[in-house]
Formats: sequence, C-alpha cells, structure tokens
Amino acid sequence: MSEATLTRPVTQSSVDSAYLLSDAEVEKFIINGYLLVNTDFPASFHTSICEQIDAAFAKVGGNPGNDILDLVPDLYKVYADPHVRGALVSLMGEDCTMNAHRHCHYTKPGEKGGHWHQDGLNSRHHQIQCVLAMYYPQDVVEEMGPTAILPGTQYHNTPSSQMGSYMNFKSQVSLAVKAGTVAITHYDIWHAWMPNVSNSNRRMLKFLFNRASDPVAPSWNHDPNYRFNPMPFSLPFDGQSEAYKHRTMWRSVWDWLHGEQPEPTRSKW
Amino acid sequence: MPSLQQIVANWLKEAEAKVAQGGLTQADLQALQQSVQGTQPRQRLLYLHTRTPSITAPIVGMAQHEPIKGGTDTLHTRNEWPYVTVHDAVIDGWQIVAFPNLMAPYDDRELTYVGYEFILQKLEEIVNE
Repeated sequence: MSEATLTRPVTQSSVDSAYLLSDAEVEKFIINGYLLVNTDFPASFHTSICEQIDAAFAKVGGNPGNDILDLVPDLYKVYADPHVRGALVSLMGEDCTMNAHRHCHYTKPGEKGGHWHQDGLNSRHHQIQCVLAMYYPQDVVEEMGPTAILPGTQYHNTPSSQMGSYMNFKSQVSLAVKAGTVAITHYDIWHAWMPNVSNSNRRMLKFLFNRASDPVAPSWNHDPNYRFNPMPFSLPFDGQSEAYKHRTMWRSVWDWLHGEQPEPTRSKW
Repeated sequence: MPSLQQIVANWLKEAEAKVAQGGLTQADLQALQQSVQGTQPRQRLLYLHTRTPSITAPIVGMAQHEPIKGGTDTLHTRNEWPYVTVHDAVIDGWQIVAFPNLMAPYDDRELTYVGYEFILQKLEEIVNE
C-alpha cells in the first residue's frame, strides 16, 4: 500500500455551504475542542460497517491497524458525508487531507478502560492543525465504555504519564452517542476510554485529518458582522488568571482562522 | 469493604438485642475476637483536584482508591460528588498527606495541568480477605 493512496484530500469537490459550520459552532469548537456531527446513513449502513469490521478483524487475526480503511472501504462514505466534510472544511480548510494513520478501537465486555492522555508528542500549539474524527458505527451507552474527553484541554501541553493520578472530572464528557455519530475533536484534547461493563462490543474508528495550508479567510459560513466575544466563557477548572489567558488565546485562534498572523514580537497574552 | 468500625458497630447492635433477651454467650465474644484479629490497618486514598491551591477551592476532579483487590477507581460519570471542597473532606475525617506543588499553572511553552492535586488518606482497620 503506497503512501499516496493513504493520504488524499478530504474533498474531491467543493462543499455545499449548507453543510458548513456557523460562527457560533466554530467559536464553540475553539473553546471546547470538540463537536458532534450526525451522518445521514440508515441504521442498516452502520450495522453493515460493524459486520465488515468484525470480518476484517477475523481475516487478519487481530486489529488491522491502518489497513482498516482498505478492508472496510465503506468507511470512505462516512468521511465523505456532507455533514462530516462540511465540519472538516470549516475547521481545517478546503484542502485538508486524511492522514495515513487511523485505528479501530475495539472494546470488548470486561475491558477496564484506559487513562487520560494526549495523542502524539508533547509539542503543542495554539492552532487547529489536526483533528480526530471518531466514528461510532453502533449506539454507545455509558456501560459500553464510551470515549471520554475533557473539553478545553486541547491547548494544554501535558505529558500523558503525568496525568496518571487523574480519574474523573466534573466537566468530562462521555461520548455516549447514537450510531452514525462522528465526534470531531482537536488532536490535542485530553481523552480516554471508559470501562466496558456491558455485554456488547464497542467499535470506534479514529481517523485523523490534517490542515494543508494556513487559513487566509474563514472557511465556514462566516457572517462579517458576527462578533466573537470570549469574555463570558470560562473553563470549569480555570482560576482567574488561566481564564483570562484562555480568552486571549481563543481570540488569537479565531483571528488566525481569519488569516491574521500574530505579530512576531507580540506576546501571545 | 468491611472495616473494623463497621464490624464492631454491627456486633454491638446484635449484642444489645441479645442482652435484652438474656445475655451474650461465650461464642459471641469469640466471634468478636476473631473479627478483631482478622483486621489490618490499611490506607484509603482520595485524590482531589481543585481549581486553586486553597482547601476551600471548588473540586474539579477526583479519584478514590480503596485498599482491597479491585478497589481502584475507574473512569465513569460520577453523578454524585461527595465533597465540594477539600475542607469538606477534612471535616469528614480525611487527612491531607500531600499538598499541591505551587508551580506556575500555565505557560504556553511549558507543561500545564488541570487543577491542583491534594492527596488525602484515611487509615482504617479492614478485614483481611
């Protein structure tokens, strides 16, 4: 399998503007680091995906890793769904690409769950350069061990090993969602998988999408009269100073998405 | 996780009824003695993460680990939070054994965390498994 076949533009054609995000949705993503998208497929489509995944695991005798897309090509349809494409283009630009890495997280009954972590290395930034697009082909209830995310942590730079003593947060969100939901999160958001105490398997397809070019203008349904005012917002775990810094940062991300580059000598704060 | 305190409390409750009915027996006393001998002091641990280093700051996260097999906490949605602040936990008998490190909480080039970590303990006599 060549790299060229693994990395490809997410869009082959322009996205109908009806599917692009609104200013308020982009603002919410900048602050919380995630949004949920519902696809338009019938339940039978998602059931079929589950069956194809199970067959793929059986065929290779384990987790097929990056090959899951070639073994279950219907997954292309999920990420080409206009709701998903609209959200990706809104956050990442028209030319964003599907990353070569993807993984099917398959949680069986009795599995104990994982710990909070950030993917990748501890080299973070305050932009939206990469997102996770997590597709759930079956209903996920709390007992099945949903993905847990901690909104607002996407701009933190925290070694995952040093998250070892954290367990439950008041503001964590468990992604107990309906089949067909795609959760789009900032790549750096803190996340984990919860214990599966049910009698059902839980499948989650994690795909990555990369920004291909810096923004030069809003790529969502932007109203020039919309005013992004971060002042009313704060994160539940932020003290006073952190809240002010986060608001300044959110504003800088908003400006960056408009194509405004920060002045090199200017403090981020 | 039966503690010595619970065992004694249960024994006393049953003993009160027996006294009213004629008195305790030698077997009752032996049962109590066996229970006491079969216990061991163990450390219950409570991690509380707070918005600021103050013991009166709101708790934003927690983990509670009990000193028995399978007693470590797991990720789950907590519908009930036992304490609002660290001070509430102290009133309930928890003792602070580690206070948060007052490192700078936020910088865009350095490492960042969520909240400040207090570690608390309760030493209780637990029945051996």
